[in-house]
Amino acid sequence: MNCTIPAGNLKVLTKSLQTLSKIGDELYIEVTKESLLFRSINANKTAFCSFKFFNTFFTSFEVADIDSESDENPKLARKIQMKAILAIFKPLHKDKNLAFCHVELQYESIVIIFKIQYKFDVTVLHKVHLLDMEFWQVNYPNDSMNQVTGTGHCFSQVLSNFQLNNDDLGLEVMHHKVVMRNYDVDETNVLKCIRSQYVLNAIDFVSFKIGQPTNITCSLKPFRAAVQFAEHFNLKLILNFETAGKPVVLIIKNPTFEVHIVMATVSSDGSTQSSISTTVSSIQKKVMNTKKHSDANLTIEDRIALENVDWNDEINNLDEQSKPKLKPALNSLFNNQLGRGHIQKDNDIDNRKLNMDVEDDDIIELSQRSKRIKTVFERCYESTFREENFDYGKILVANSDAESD
Amino acid sequence: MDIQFLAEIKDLKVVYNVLKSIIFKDFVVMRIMEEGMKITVDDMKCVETSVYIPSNIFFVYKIKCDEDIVFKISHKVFTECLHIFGDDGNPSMKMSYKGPGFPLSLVLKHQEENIIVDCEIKTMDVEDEFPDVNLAEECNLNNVVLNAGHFVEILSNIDHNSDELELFLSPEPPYFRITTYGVLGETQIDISKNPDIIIVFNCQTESVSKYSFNNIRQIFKVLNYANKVKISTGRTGLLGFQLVIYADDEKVMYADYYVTPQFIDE
Repeated sequence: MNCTIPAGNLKVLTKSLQTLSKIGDELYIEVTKESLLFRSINANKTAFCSFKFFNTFFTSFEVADIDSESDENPKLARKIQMKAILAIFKPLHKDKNLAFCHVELQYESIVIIFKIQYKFDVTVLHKVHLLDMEFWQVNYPNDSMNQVTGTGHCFSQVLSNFQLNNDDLGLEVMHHKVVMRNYDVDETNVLKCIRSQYVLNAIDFVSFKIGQPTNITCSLKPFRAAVQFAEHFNLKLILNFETAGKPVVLIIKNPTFEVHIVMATVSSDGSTQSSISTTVSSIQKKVMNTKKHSDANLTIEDRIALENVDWNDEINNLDEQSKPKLKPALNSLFNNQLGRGHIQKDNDIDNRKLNMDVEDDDIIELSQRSKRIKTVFERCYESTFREENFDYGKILVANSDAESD
Repeated sequence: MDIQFLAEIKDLKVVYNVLKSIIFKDFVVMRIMEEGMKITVDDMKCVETSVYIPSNIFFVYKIKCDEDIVFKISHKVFTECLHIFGDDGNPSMKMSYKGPGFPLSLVLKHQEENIIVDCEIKTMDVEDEFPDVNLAEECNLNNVVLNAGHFVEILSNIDHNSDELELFLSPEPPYFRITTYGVLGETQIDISKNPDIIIVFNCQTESVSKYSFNNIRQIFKVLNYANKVKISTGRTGLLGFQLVIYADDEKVMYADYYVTPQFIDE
């Protein structure tokens, strides 16, 4: 493969590499007949990013015959260190003397060559070593029943209200509006945590098609990376999603390139069932880590109960709760009207969280008891146990009150 | 004892920046001569950097001794004293030295506030001075004079974690080639004889030598302050950089840098 990128498009390439580097440490380069693909995937395989540069992006784009994919003629896909390619393109960002960049990748070669031509007859040639490559396929739907399109600027305004240390983003989608909120299960110090939520109406978006209202939680980092890219080039961001547990696909389109970012979402049944997620998602891991100190024996149901804090209720209930004198002042402080959206922030002592801590103790007690029950009546919890096959004989005493629950 | 050396300087900024950028060893040798000051630092006898501050940079420059004054001084302490008022201080300085065994005394005066700082830095005798061989004389094979501003920009392409740097000079294309080798890959920079970058290209014989990148890295910091740079090579592979640094519009400072090549297994 031989291609030449004009100086103007090098900015796009540099920015896209920065976006890719926020997702993975390695860059997968794939050449097809009509495009060059740059891809990266994060370490726990919950986020995937693909930049497809069409041949119109280049001033010249020559590919050796790769019509038929066979054993003798395998796919031209290679992997390199992200650090290596970033180091090449980062200094180009502000350089005004650039003429063009030439990329060369051959089947038999062990290096990929980037040749950068400057004015004043200066040529810089970078040979980057290729890494061992494992092939993987990411399958994701391109068309979903829920599709929201907004400008990069619009999303960026929303994200600017979230803290940089927030890991996850909750999206609650209804027929006419979207509620975006930070979702922070990792915060151990409730006094320091800030909860933000942003309500966007359908008119804030370019297009708003909701087939089925849903509530999803995804990672904020790749989302932020996509939004930054879209905002920088003033492009629209298309969000495709279905329900919790199914991946969210972010699409950014331009006549010369196309970006797809796929993110796993946390499944509502507590297990991660995303097509790209093969490992436990970071969110799930964090839940486990934070709970470890209190009790590792919490069942999945318990954890879900802890996670599914209904924030709406919480914020609505604030006024009615313990400190009525303080609340109005606080609310006026945090109910800022920002743009056309509406933000509510609550960094007061989180009453709900405190209540939850009390409940935590109950849960611990409960689960310890259920553990004891399981050891005593081990047989009843085995998978081969069938109640109908079991002869109780004559019941002498009915269940006591405590057990009847 | 009478003061043997006395100097006063008004604008310390460039002098301080240049001196700071050559810190890679604890001690420097300061040689005070009729023509100016020379500050030399060397490492393992394979890298040597010197900064020349000609006497015309100084407002007052008096030397009452027939021989050159030579002493060793802690580089870190010296540069820290020059920067005692921080970035926006830009003090004027008076230097004096009484003779062997006496400290180097500095009096720094803040330009706006009425603050005077008196510093005394202990000096040491130079025992194992680098024999004063004329390295410039040895680098007589090829030389190239470049516009430092453009050259620094081009060098920003180099991966600073490289292990080795190879310099190739040839009368035929590609006239001037720098190649760096690192874990991630290699980078090759070709600069042709374009008058915007190369001011003088004086190369009769082809020469190629490899240098440890760790040694070369030191010069990159000083290059940022330079206006012109002359790169010269010797028959043994010795590489020299001579930098011209403009302290202000008329006054010029010089820095030079020599590095020996890596042992090449033939």
